[in-house]
Amino acid sequence: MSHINKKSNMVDTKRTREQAQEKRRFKMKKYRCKICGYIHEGNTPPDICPVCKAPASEFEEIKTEKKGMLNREGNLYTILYASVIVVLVAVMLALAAQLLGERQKRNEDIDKKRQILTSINITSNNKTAEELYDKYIVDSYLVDGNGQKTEGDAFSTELGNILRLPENERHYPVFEAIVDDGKKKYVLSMRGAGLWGPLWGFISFDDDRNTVYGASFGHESETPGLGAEIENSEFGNKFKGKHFFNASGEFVSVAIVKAGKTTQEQDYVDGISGGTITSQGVDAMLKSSIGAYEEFLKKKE
Amino acid sequence: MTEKNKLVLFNPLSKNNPITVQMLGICSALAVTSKLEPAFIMAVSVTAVVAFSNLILSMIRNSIPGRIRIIVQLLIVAALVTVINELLKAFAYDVSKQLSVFVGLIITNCIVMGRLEAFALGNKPWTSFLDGVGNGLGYGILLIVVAFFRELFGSGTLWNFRVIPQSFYDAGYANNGLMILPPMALIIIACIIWIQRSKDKELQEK
Repeated sequence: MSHINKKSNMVDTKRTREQAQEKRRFKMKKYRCKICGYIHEGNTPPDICPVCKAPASEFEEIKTEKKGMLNREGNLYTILYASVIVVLVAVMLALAAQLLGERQKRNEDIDKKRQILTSINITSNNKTAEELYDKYIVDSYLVDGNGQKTEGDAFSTELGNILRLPENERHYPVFEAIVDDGKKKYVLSMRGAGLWGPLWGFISFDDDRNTVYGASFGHESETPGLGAEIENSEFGNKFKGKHFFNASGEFVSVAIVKAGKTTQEQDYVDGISGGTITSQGVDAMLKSSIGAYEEFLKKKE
Repeated sequence: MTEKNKLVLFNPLSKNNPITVQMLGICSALAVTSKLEPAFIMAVSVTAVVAFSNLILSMIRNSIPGRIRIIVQLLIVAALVTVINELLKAFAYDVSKQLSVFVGLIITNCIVMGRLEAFALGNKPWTSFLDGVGNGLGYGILLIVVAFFRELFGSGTLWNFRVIPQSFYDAGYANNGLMILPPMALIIIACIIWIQRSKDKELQEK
């Protein structure tokens, strides 16, 4: 006898536990009888109050949260919270972009000027860049695919946007510089793709329009310590004195090779060890971007 | 400073190091430790981001609905990093150029999310802030140790200054190319974990 009782007790406790769990899972609503105060648990009010036999219309729902605040785990609160915080962050970001945009643009222009100056082997800092740029860069214009000068502002031309146009509508920026010994240099703009993002650079030519005078490279998100090394002057300096045309006057570009390797047909510089994809990106960028200036470079004054 | 705060600040430097003990932030530790300079920048920025996101999250911790807390954490971290990056772009352009590559790495760094979830959600703002600083420093120290070995043997330089003399190279010494690739970072981290556990018996698993 006691054995059976024990067993049924166990079953009972188990059942109550399951019921409690179910209640928690479904978050059952609670209803109070307005007449006698009986509390019914369920998703709908009972048809008849078991105590005072009042009909379902006499039951009112009891809200679980009584603090006057929304329930922190409820759907409404969650949605409201998410909306408010997203709008707040959006406003904050928009404000930051609006208020700081002008300063940022100025910094970017200064940075571009510094890169152009680096390509003609002139070191500058943020304060001197604009002054030095005005001193050394004497002329700038756009050229089309046939090397003809066209109208337009070279400095504000982003090569990244130009490359999206059809080939016959493209105009490429050229900057003319007079360096300290009075010789004229041509600075050309480059853009390509690295491992993670865009690459760009400026390369300057002697007035034979073949020999490299200097080069500078930039990148958006190459791996620090590996591909990102292309922006160091050490890498740009390797291009000095290299030729983009071979002895018979054909455009062959300058190759980026693995350190220790050589090529016969064209001039080459060593790539970045550990930054193979970035080095290949620079190689492709030189070929395509300087290739676009081929007709311009072939014109001798 | 109370005894508890001291523990919160200094434990992550050794006994509760985010990389060697909590095993967080390994991915970025592999990515940025081929040279000392980027490792240092990453260490400083992660410290700042963990500390301040811990602080902010801890201040609003009682209002966050449990079901969307991870999204809220991510939003705070991403917004914080983006706003800081925008400010740097306007007022310290050179620093922002250095940092631009790291922005993505910082937002997705598991240490930031790990500390928000494990600590800031249940602790007061000031303690959370200290926890952030401690974990950032613990992460940074390890990054710098790994970067030291990788740059020295991989490139023969330290902070871009040549330290292995040219005469060594003339005599046939060569830089170890494997050192600058990510797998070697994993091996160095493993060696550090090995040394730490063999010294500290408490950390050894049975």
